[in-house]
Amino acid sequence: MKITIRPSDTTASILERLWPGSVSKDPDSEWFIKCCTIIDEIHANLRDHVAPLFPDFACSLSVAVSGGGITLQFQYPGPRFDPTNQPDINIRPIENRGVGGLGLLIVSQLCDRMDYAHDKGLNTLTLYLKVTGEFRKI
Amino acid sequence: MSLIINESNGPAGIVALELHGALDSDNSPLLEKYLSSAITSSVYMVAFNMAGVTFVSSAGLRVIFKTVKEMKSRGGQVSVTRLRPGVRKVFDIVKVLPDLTVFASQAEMDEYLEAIQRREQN
Repeated sequence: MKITIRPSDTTASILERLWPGSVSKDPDSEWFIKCCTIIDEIHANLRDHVAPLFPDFACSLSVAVSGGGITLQFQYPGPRFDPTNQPDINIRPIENRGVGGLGLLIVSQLCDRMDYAHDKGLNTLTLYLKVTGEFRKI
Repeated sequence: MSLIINESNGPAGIVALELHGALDSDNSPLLEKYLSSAITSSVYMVAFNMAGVTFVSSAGLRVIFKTVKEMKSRGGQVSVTRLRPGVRKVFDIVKVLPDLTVFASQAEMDEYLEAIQRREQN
């Protein structure tokens, strides 16, 4: 399944397009909660940092299920920014913690593999999650 | 998937909130705004019942962090109860749990709040 995400979209509306009714039907499914969190993190980052560079910004999000896992692929225009190659952030103690970098830390810990490519101004971020529980049909 | 915030009528000095929905980038500003008016100078504890929180992202965590910093700066504390597994996983990733008082159940939290209230009154 492939959808187009725009900066004005809410995370809830994106999730509803991908998995209608899932939030109320399946709130504790591990893979689903991970996907919700990852999509919100990436969407918020793009909305805040990349979309302002383009008057009509749009990101495509593909979701595919195969081989006991789920793949989320984000493709969007913009300068190179490799989220797989970011410095570790200092997360302790809380009093000294900055506000940046938490989202990428969470995404990198929730997925099992994260690949990034940049070609001719197009970023491709691919995230793979293993699914250990029962997989509801998407 | 909006965020619903219900404040319990608790002891003075304690802001006890039940959260329902996603603590994501769209909804977190609502919680931040609510807390900025709820946390008055007399508040020494903020208690979040997270049983209804479906997922939390960094935007929600920033509000929690801000609250923890604010309460620590005045010698207060922040507690959370009934974290769902997916929410707890994110709290674990960012290592925030040591800064929080964590309760498994609402009854456990209520008992703790009552003990604090008795201590404050004495």
